[in-house]
This record gives sequence, C-alpha cells and structure tokens, in this order.
Amino acid sequence: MRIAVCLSCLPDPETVEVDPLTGAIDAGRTLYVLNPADAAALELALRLRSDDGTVRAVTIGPDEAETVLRDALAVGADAVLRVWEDQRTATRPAATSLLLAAALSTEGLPDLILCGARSLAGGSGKVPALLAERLGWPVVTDVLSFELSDGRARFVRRLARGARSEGEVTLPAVLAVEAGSAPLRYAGLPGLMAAKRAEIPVRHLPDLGLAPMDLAFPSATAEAAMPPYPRPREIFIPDSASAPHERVAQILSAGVAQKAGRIIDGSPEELADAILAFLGEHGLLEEPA
Amino acid sequence: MDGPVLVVAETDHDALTPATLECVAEARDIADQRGCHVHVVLPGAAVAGLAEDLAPYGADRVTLVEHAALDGFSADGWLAALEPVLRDARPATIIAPDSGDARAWLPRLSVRWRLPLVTGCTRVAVMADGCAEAYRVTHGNRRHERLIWARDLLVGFLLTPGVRGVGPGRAGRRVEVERIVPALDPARLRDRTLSTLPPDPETVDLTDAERIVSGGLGVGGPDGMAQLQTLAAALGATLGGTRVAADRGWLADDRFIGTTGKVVAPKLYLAFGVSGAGQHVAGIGGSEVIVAVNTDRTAPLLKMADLGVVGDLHEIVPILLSKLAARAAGGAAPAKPEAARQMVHQ
Repeated sequence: MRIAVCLSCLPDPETVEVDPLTGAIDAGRTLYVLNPADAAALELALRLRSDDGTVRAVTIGPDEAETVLRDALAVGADAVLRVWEDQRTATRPAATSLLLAAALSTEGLPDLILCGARSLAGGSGKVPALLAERLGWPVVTDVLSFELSDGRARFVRRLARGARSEGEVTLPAVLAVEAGSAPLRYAGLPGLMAAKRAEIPVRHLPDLGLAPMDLAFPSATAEAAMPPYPRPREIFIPDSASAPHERVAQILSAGVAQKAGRIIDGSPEELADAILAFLGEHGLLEEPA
Repeated sequence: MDGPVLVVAETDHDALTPATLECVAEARDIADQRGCHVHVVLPGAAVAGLAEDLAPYGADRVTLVEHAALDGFSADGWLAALEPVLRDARPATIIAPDSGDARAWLPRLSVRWRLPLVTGCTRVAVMADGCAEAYRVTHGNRRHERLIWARDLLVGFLLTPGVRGVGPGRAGRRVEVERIVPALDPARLRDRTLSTLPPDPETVDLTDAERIVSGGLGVGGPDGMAQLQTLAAALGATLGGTRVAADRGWLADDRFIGTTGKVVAPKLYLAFGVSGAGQHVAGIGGSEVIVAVNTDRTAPLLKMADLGVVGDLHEIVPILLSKLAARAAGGAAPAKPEAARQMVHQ
C-alpha cells in the first residue's frame, strides 16, 4: 500500500495579527506550523503503513515549507517532495490541487491519498475534492476514522449537529481527514537528526510538464482583507404592538417570554414525580428522535 | 432578465437543514436586488414533501431530483445527478451550505466547469452594479476577505452554516415544483453512505444538543455537577450550565450557556439551581420546553419556565435518578441513544 499525504505549512492563527487598515498580516510576528488536520492525516497514514508500504509526504510551498517535510521524515515518512513555482500564485486551492495532481502523477500514483479536511489559513476545504477530480478518483470529506479491506476504505464521517455516518469508498481515493482524529506521534532523536540532514527534493513547473499559464484560473476582480467582525444574525422580531420597555425586555431575553407555565410546590418526592410526569407528557422520556 | 440564483438544498432525516434555509433566504435577498428567481434544487430519495417548506423563505421554483440511490450521500451520485440539472437551470449564481457534502461534490463540478467556488462565506450579496460580492473568514477567523466577482461570471458560493440565521418565513408564497428522475446506476457510485449514527450526548456540542440538563450556582460544587451529569446521561441529555458554574471550575469552559457562551436551542432545557440572570437567559431563547428547579420562588427563570419547581435540587435529583433507574429496569426503553438507533439507508 503506497500512501501519499498532502501537508501544508501555514501561519499559526494564534500568531496572526491583522492590520486593521490594510488587512495585511504582520509577517514579523507570524510563526509557521504544520496544519493540524494534515498532522492527523500523516499520523493515520503512518499507522496504516504495512511492512512493504510507503508513506510519501508532499507539500506545495516556498523554501520555508521544508520544515513540515523534515518533521514528516522525523516521525517516519519514507519519502518527501516539495513543489513550488516562483510566481508565488500557487497557494490558491485550484493551483494547489493542480500542482499536487501533477506531482503525484509524475512520481507514480499512490493507492491512497490523505489530506487534512481544512487548512487553518485559507481554509477553503476544497483541495481534497479538487485533487480527486483532477485524478478522476472518488473523494470523502470530513473523515474521522477509516479502515482498509480488499480495495475499499470503510470510513466514519462527521456530519452536522454532532451526527456521524458510516460508508465505504473504492480505492484509489482521496480522504480528507478531520483535525484531531489522531494526534501526531513524537519524533525520536535519531529520526530528528536524520531529518535535519536529509535532502529535500524540489520540483518546479517544467519538471511537472506545466506552464505558468496552466495555473491561471478565473479569480475575483477585487479583493480586500480586514480584521473580522461578526455578521449580525437575523433573529425573531419583538411584537411591535407592545410598549417600548417590553420590547427591549423581549430582545434582552432573546424571545424567552414569560410563559403561562405552572409553578409547583410539594415534597421532593412529589416534585420529582411531577417533573417526570411533565417530561413524559412532552415525550421527553423516550429516546431522542 | 438574469438567470436564477440557484440553491442546492440539503436534507437531514427527512427535513431541510437550517443551513439550507439560510442559503435560500440569502439567495432571496440577491434575487430581489437583481430581479430574478430563486431556484432550489432538492436531491434525495423521497423529498417531494419538502418543496412547500422552501416557499416561506423565498424559493420561486423547486426542482426535485429523486432517485433511490440518492438516499444517503454519495459525492459520485450527487455529481452525476445534479450536473445536468444545474446546467439546464442556467444559473447566474450558485449558493449551497458549506457542509462536508457540498465540499465533496461541488469542487469536482468546479473543475469540470472551471467554475470559481468560494467556500466558507459569511455573506453573499450583490453590489449596486450587479457584481457579486462575498465575505469569507480565513486564518482561523482572525481575518476576513472580501471578494468581488465580474457581473457575468458564474460563481459558486458555500455559505457557512449558522452565520446568517433565518427570520420568520413569509406565509402565502407560492412555489412551482418540478420533478426529475436522473439516470443513475447505483453500482457505478464509488463512494456511498451505509448508515448514519446519531450524536453522542456526552460529546455533542451544546448548540447541537436536543436535550440539555444545566446547573447553576445552586448546584453547590463539582459533586452536584457530577450528579447532574448522571441525570443527563439517564435522560439522553447533554450537560451545560451557567457562567458562574464554569468560572468556579465545576464545568468545562465550552459548556456554559449565555451571551458570552453558547446560544442553545434544545427541545428540553432542564435547569437546576439556575436563577435566570439576563446574560444566561439570552442563551436559551430557542428552547422549546423549559423546566426549572430552584429553592427561590422569585427566581426569574421559574416564571419563564413551562414547569417551575420550587424545591431543593439536592433532594430532588437523587429521587429523579432512582425513579429513572427503576423505570429503565421496569422494561421501559432507557434513553440510550448510542445502542439501538442506527438508521440503515441501504
């Protein structure tokens, strides 16, 4: 089983300071880290590797991105590859996925590609699916765990509202792994020392049979960046017939009006019975639907 | 007239997801400004009953894409079934919820069509000159980007669930419904969903919880909170509480409810020793049924509750626990969501 893992080296959000006027990120303060979801993907790949299997880590990035590949070598990756082009436009998801697909194809396609579900920088979350489509492979997003058996991967996906789903996909496939699904192992000292000295191979556009024009994708005509401010959510509208002070009270209590509820007294035993009876009436003692 | 604003709807257990309604409402705002229709594409196995639910939020036209193979999500299936439908609709803009499903199949469509696809949007709008603009968050919500797109370019936007919210729908709107049965071969779908598992009450995020047992200062300490956790488990509920309880370390920091914490909308909100300060009550507005237990008859939450109980939680909770245990042993189904409930799709 040959597994490829796509890694990205990105600014640690904790260190990102955004200039309020220009939206620029203060480069002097920024520290770069391995994307947490990619770390989980790398750990799952290393756990899956069989005796004759290999794990190859790939990243798209400038010289500084070598650090994540050295980290990958230190924890046990068999091979690494860095891809970059000097126009520095390759960080857009469309270009990233094209470079990844070209690099993996020229190096020999693996049986399985693992990506992080979402980066902490651009955070588009679409690179896995873009990469899969370029290779003509199926893709599964938001994967929490998976196991392999005869040419298939059986996976557990995260859904909205805390639910999960189980499913299967035929290999080869791209799986996008959720951050936190598996904490990355620590590197041993010998591994760290060997990784420090390792030669990191680099590929540029001509090595992959691509021209800069291939990376031109339709893009926005204007872009601006700014510090975040939350969007006001649409909420309930207070009754316009009521007095102003009542409307203010309604807004402050987020619409929890005084209900015509019951207030009951009694011995603890009676009160507990009353609570259970009330919950029973509302169908709240049954299993949640 | 411009092409329609197209929304790709998502369902969960035979209901539209709240994120879908947000997308329809957002599309309605854009369509009103451009003077075009909102066209909703609704894929699934049997979704005809949901078309009417889209009308109050602004849908003009709904295309049901029904096929047995679309029961559980499959990126291959969605792509094969919806690509021709989307092409025929000739949309001017595409909006969908930023869900794992949409992030699996829409980027693949974007490669085929060379369609720009903007994910993680917090707002999609049209400017006065008709150009689409979108805001999205980057760098772990440390930075916002504003993107503007040429007027005649088809762009797809994925709207982050929960950022918009939906107001009350407008009753009396009409919607035109058509039904398409796509040609799908289930054997050719390389990825498929086999079953869905319900959320685990112990780990589910409070904002997603169906039932919440919450504790305030009246709980008295970590021991009381542990007892509430046992009660929550017996009811299939999630434990939450007030900021006061969290600040004292009785409760994890992601478990307190209120203006500075989580805003919740459970079916049941069962509060013990919570007086009902405004800052806390502002977080429980979406609760369907509120039950409050407090020794203080004048506590504001008792007046807001459907059932207000004047009593000492330290006496009542142990009785509740023993009665629930007896009930479970007596043959009634215990509230154990993990064990039995697996909805098998195929």
